[in-house]
Amino acid sequence: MKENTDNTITNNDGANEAALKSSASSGHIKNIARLLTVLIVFGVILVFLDRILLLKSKDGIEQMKAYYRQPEGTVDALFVGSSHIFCHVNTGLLWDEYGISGFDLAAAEQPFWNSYHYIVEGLKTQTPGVVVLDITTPGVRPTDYQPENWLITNTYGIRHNKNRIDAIKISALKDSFKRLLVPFNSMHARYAELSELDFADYDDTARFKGFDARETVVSFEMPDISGVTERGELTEKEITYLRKTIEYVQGKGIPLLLMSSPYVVTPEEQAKFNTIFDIADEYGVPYIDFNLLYDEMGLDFETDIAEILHLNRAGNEKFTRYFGQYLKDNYNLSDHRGDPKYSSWDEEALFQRQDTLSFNIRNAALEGANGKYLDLLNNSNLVIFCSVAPGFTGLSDPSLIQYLESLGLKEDMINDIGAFVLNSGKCIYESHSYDFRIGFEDGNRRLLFVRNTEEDGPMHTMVRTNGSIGYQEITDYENHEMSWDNGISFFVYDTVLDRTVGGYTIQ
Amino acid sequence: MSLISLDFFIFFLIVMIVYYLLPGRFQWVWLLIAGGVFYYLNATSLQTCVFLVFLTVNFIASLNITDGSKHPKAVFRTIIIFDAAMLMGLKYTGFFLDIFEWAAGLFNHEINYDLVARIMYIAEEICPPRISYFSLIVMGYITDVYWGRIELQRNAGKFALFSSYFPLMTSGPIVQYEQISSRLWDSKHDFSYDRFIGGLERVLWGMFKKLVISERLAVIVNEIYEYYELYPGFYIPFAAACFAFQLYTDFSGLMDIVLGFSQILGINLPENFNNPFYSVSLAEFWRRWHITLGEWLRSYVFYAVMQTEAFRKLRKFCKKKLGKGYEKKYNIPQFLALLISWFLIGLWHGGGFNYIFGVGVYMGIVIIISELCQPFFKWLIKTLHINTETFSYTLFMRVRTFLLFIFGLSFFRAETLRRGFTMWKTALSLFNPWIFFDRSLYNLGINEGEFHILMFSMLILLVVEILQHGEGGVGTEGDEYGCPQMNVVRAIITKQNFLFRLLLFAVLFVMVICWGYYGSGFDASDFIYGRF
Repeated sequence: MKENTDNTITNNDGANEAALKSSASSGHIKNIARLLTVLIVFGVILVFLDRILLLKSKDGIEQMKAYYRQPEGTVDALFVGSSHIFCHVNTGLLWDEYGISGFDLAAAEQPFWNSYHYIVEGLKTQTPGVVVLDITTPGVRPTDYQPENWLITNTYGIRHNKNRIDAIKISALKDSFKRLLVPFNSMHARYAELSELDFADYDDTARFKGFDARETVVSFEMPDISGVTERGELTEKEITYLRKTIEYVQGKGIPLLLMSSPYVVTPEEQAKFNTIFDIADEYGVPYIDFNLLYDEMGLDFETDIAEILHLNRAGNEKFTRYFGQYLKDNYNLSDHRGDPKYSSWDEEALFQRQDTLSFNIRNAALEGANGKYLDLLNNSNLVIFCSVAPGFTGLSDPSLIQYLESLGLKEDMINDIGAFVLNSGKCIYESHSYDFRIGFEDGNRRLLFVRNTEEDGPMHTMVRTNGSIGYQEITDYENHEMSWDNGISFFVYDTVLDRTVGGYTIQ
Repeated sequence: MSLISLDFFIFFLIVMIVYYLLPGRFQWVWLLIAGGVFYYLNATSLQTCVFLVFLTVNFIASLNITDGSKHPKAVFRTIIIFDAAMLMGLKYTGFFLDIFEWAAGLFNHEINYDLVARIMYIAEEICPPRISYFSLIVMGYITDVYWGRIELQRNAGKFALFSSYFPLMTSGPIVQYEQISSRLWDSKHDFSYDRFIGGLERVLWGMFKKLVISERLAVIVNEIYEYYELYPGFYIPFAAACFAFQLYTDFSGLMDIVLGFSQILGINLPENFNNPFYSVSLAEFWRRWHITLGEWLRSYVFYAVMQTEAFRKLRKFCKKKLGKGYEKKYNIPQFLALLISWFLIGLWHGGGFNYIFGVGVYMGIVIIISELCQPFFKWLIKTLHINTETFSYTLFMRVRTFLLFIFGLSFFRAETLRRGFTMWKTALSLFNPWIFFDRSLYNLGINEGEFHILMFSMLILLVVEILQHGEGGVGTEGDEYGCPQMNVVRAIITKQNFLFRLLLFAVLFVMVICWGYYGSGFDASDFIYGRF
């Protein structure tokens, strides 16, 4: 009997011990699960912050980010180099005119070592028919180290991989390398300037192809460097990476083309380009010196230059037409127009057409060319907010009435305090009241067309828009107040560009 | 290698992983190796050699000061003089040379400036980093062994580990042998999830204090102290208050990081801060601020001085002249010993009269005066019928203590004693309370947005400090994860659901990453107390 009791006790002890062990083990598993959860949550936070805080710069970072979004094997012409690439090679026009699917994988002030790492990254997902390497920046400013802001735009777009580490390592001074490796060290202070762009990536489609035109117009005297035969000096590091790049692309069996961009070049700079062309000759790599081809391209230094280093929109169109024809004639580049896989190039071409249009509309407004301005507004992607001032008595120029009719505004509609919203040749809203509010919505953008009459006060007609307008603008609120002193005022919004084109009043 | 650097995080991760993979009996050896590597990475080869020589000499001396030794007293005196001379000679070379130069000037004696420069250069080259910390730790150990308070450590490795445990080789705390020796090598430390998470939380909290609060305050403080001529009137006390909070968040933040890392390794270090701004007197303040330095001086200087032959004679003399029970009214020997201790505290903070006065002698004098005035204060309270058991009275005492403290501390930040006084003269030159209303404070190097972040962060700090100061918050025993002072806050946090804790932790993490002053353009690795 006693023995039995002992056994019972022993058995109970065993059961308790087993229960304790099982509870300890379940506690252990619970802790491991919690630890993993903590690590995962912190990992996700880091990725999220890295994405949000990263500088949204079209000086190189956005180009690389957009490149990753291109469907594999679709980029036929890869353009690498400095701002001369993304300001000059109009990828929309290249598609419109030649059906070439090109991408400007470039960053401002790019030295050869960064071009090398951009090409390494670029060839991971695409096998282009030609790689074009711009040599302008290394020729203009040969150096061993770029200032940190350029280093960032040239490396931070690359995904977190070995190539990115290598790119930062070769670009950074020894003391700065580790600091620059952790992007938060440079980016975290951006919390104070975060905008809609940082959270909602407008270009999360594959539309953006890296091209970003300059819009200013500055006239220069056309340089002549045809007689420059001297050889200028480059840094050892630039030469090493130029050779490395040539060998890398040749090793991949992809045709490489070197080019110096057209700009207001000096003889000293040309001498450095000559040195680079000599190295190209050594490897049998073809090159084009666009500074010897101004006339062939039809460049006008009065109207086509944005500033001393870059062409403007008018200039890049002339350049791209010429260069596109050269590429079409010399490389095996298929015409992909109509292929649904390449639909993003259609979007890009449309975007660039609209951008050119907005450039022209703004210029017409600046010139005060009423007829030209109204003619340009005849575009189905534009929404036109139009307000007629009190006491308006009619237009004196009958040709303007024709333009207005083509926009959807009949002559009998235009009278005292009229307000209209026009799109695709139709009037989609009409009011002749002193007070009204009409909302217009297009994607994320909301526009409010309002007229308020204050008691014994002035009358305001305004179009307010929400959010950031346009790609790089960072204002979070735009308020365009129209002038209404005896005339018709226009305010134009482009649904493709997702931004306002500006206002204008015909007196 | 700063505690807030990628290098240190990688270093610590390696140390931690290997540490927990090793069997218990090898864990302390690994910590010793890690300590050696850490020290070497933060010093030159020459400085590391000096550090090793220092440890070797002290270890050998420690073997010869116990009861059975031949000349324990002589050896003890020699080694203490050696250690103190090394600290003074290497750390305060500039200060002593300045005094020498001044004295030579009095006697129209020509100074050989080449020689002075050479001495300064040599001292800087060989002075081992963190000498102000490890020399006190070792001197404390030697004294304890000599006094027979602790058992002699005969294992050179364990002695070296105690003297160079790497989290301490940043800015303390100035530990005493008894406080950590058993934790360092007596037991095996297994990885614990709670300890790991608790330690990380504390590290993050320390980084929040340092990078988000202290570095922002530093901008304001630097602007006013640098161009004090432009900032008369209320700017000066405002800067002094900002500096007090800057120093507090800097040093206590660093301590949170050190203690948090050490906690992850299962080694709980003594606290160095205990809500000092809640103190109702300056004496209490210093028992809550840089606690381990105060304890060290009390244990090894104050009591030692009081036991000397000279003080015994002084006590006898006072008794004869002032009568029996004089201690209750005018305890002159104690005041003198206090002044010596305070002088040393000031000197420890830096070789300069601004340190010796501001965080030394001034504090001592205020404490002595308040001791002497106790009967008067008691009479005043009684006569004016003041109820001292109220919140308002406690608040008054705290504000008074804070103001007395920041006045002295302002000299710490001023480069010289003269500049400190000039600044306070500037403070009295203009009555400009409008600076607190007309947005002037937004023009002190940080803009309005940054200023609001600072205020918001300090509000978070205040809430945590209030919670910490709650019942049971002061001096309660540490739980198995250590850190007594953090207990109240820790208890509140641990009671919450896992997801809520995670959320708190994540929000703090995001605040540190985004709002922290680090990286390009900032030098957050420079802790004020790391310079000693």
